[in-house]
Amino acid sequence: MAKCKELSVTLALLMPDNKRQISLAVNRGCIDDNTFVFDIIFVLRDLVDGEFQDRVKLRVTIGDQSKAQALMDRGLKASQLDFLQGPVTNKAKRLPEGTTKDPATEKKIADIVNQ
Amino acid sequence: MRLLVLAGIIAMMIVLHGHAEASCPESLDALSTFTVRDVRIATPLTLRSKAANRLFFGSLGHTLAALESSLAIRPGQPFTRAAYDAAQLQITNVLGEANLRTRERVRLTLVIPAVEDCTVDSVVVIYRVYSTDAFSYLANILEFSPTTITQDLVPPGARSARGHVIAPLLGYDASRGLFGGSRATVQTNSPVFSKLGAAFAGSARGAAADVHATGERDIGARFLEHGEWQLNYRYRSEPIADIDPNLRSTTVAARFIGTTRAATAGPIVFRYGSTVEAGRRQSDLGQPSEPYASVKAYVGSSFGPRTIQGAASYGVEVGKALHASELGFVKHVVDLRLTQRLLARAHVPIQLESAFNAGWIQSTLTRIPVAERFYGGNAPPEFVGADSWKIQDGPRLRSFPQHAFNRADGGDTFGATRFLSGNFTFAPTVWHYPAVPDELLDDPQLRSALAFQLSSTKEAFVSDCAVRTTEFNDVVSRVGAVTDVLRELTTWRMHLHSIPLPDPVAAALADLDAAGDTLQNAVATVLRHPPNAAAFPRARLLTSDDEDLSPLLQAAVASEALAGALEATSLASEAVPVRQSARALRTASMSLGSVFAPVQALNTANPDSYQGVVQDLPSLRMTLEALSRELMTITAVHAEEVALLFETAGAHLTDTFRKLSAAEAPNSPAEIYDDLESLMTDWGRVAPSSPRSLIESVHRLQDALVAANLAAAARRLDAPLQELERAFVRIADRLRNIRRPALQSCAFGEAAFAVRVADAAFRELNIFQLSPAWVLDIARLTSDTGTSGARVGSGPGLRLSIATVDVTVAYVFNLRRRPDERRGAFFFSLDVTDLFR
Repeated sequence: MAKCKELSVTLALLMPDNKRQISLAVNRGCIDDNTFVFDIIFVLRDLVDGEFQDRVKLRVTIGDQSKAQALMDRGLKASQLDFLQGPVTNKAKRLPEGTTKDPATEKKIADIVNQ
Repeated sequence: MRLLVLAGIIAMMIVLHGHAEASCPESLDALSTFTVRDVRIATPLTLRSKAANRLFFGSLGHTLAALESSLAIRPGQPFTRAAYDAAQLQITNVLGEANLRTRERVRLTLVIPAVEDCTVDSVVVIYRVYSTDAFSYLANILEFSPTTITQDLVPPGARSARGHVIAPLLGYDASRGLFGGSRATVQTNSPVFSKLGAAFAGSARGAAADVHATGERDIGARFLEHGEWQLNYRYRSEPIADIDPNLRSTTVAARFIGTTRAATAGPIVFRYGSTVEAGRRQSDLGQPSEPYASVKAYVGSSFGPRTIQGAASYGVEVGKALHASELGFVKHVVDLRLTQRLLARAHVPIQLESAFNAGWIQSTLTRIPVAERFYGGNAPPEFVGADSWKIQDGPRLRSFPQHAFNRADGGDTFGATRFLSGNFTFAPTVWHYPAVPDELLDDPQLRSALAFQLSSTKEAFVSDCAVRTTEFNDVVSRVGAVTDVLRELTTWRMHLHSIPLPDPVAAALADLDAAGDTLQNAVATVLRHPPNAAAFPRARLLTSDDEDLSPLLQAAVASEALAGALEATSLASEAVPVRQSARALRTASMSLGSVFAPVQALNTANPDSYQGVVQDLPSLRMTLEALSRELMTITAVHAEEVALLFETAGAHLTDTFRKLSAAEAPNSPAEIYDDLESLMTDWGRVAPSSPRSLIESVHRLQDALVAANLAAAARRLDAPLQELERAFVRIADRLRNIRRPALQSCAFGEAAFAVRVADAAFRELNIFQLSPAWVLDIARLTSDTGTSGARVGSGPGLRLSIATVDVTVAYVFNLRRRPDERRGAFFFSLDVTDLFR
């Protein structure tokens, strides 16, 4: 029986100040029956003129299963989430609106989840 | 009967997506020679009409339907795993981008792809999307009160940008007959009244009208988390079964309702409010129309987790004739409600609802307007008259039509001065169609993914908890000192912008502007009052000594670069204040270096506390190894169910070994806590810890082995399983006795809501649910001239639940019937079960 089965879980949260939504999605794909590939999706959305608008959406693909599994086991820590809300989002805010790919920021997120 | 038609339409239109039984290869790798015959995105609630889908379930269903035709995997093309996975990722991207609705704080979505209906050379690909979205929406659109005419049936598709709404209303009840009307709401930009509304309903026997202006605001204070205020005009002409004259009232009211912050220790909220009202009460029942005025005050609380929810309210009203100098009456009402939802196994709840109500009026009967006396039936009056808070203002006796239980002494006097009533409804589920298939709940990888999300959610609340501590107040005070440095920085930045600059200097100044703005924002965020969660990460960064993280140091570096650029030109004198600012920024950074440590300490576990637990881990490993050996001896796995459970147990065993290994490894102090929590934390019953999941799955495997005539194999698992249970319980007890870091304890409490939501969405929520119901009511009216005695109504019914909406129909017999009374009455109710509380 196949060890790898496709699955995706998304959790969207309204932050306590009611002005920002953060969406964390984990997408598990399978290269074959035994090889996982995880996509972690980060979406930052700000309240602008009464409506939530996407500033930047980034996706990081993690091919290293042991690190992905360790992340899944422990979950994101407060310091990692803070970093996502701090330096990464500060950098993300400076990206042009509608940016979907930014290697430098993607590397930062990958560094966080691979800690 | 109201909304019954709507419920019926929904029920008829919903398509249940069954799981195809056609056999497909277990491995998708074996499908490389197959062609894709069809591709579908299916949600548990799907309507045949796309327009209806959008109307009832909003934009998410619409968006997914639109995505179907643009997926990477398409009909007619060869099946490839890459396209199959890419399409899933497309759906995940859309879900990740989807906005939360108004009043929706959390959304959990699961996508499970599958290949089904395989023929010799083709397959159908289905992406099943399970989301809390549609259900929280359904709960929001339906009104709670069966006695008011409001109906907040406002799908997003019907809203304009400002939320102007016109909604029709059609309904039926025994006293009013068939009635119809409309409701209109207009959102405004006013900070005082954000919503203006009007509603009317009429029938051959009566009429009702409401006009109101409503405002609300999240205040954020401990004793006033949320405030709601309303000005309201209300007219009622309500028919009474078997009596010709109507009860008539005209009321103008001003109302305020405040809510305290939910306690972190348990889901309990206190509410309080007051209404000042004036108007006329007239009845055509022997008392002339009389102007009156009254003041109402009410307090209460709602409490309990989802399985046992309760609410307790007390209200007092002081009323008098408008021109009289003395008080006319003082009315007291008490309302206690308890709803139990027992979940012996997933998706099969047993519901027990009970209510106890009492009221008494201090006055002489003649001074009390008829409409203010106590009377009841299957839809008793409301005391507050607000959608957000219901306090019953009379006895509920469902064997009588609306307002028909109104005689205390058997004479002609309408209404009473005291009442008591108790109501019970019992409804065990006998059939259900779950929102998330039962078999998915046992999927080890789904449990792992849910645990990841819930654990991350918990950590997100650490910031909220941190900014409420006294230690963080000290950080805020110290950060406040940076404002002087910032002021200097801003002064000479403005000066430099006012003079001509060579390009290299202008570029360096632009970099400093960016760094300065970031620093300014960070400081302003930390100093904001009241503090919010964003202050915590900003404070952490401001106090960091890492140049890649600290906005202070980044501004210092940018200042130094600018000074260097200035010194390389003829503007060297301008570099002096820039260098001074750079030094001041670095000094400020150093002065903040240690101030964050006390806050950090609140989130740091003491590793010594966990040594006993760590030393006990080898015993857990031994029991796991013993269980693993016994599982390996089970080789004759032919029955499909046994094979599936065997695989599930194996997966949980692997997870447990992996997490145990992480906990046993030499770790940093922070990692010891994290790894033990990863191994042992139960995220509700939807994502229990790996050892607990393993224990559950082996128990089920034993049952399946016995059913497959493999009892001997099942018995061999007894001893290692019992050893594992003992070791797990022992370690769990040890962990429970260790106090978590303060911020972690707080964050677990705050995240309990998300855990309950996940638990309800996955384990409890049914798309359809059918339950027989039994109703029992006892009520008594009393006045100075006599009493009705204890009246009893009881009878059978049926409850159909559509997601979180319960429609109950029953015939309640009048068990102590008097000669002039009806045999009983039909009872209809439409309630929303607040699963996501």
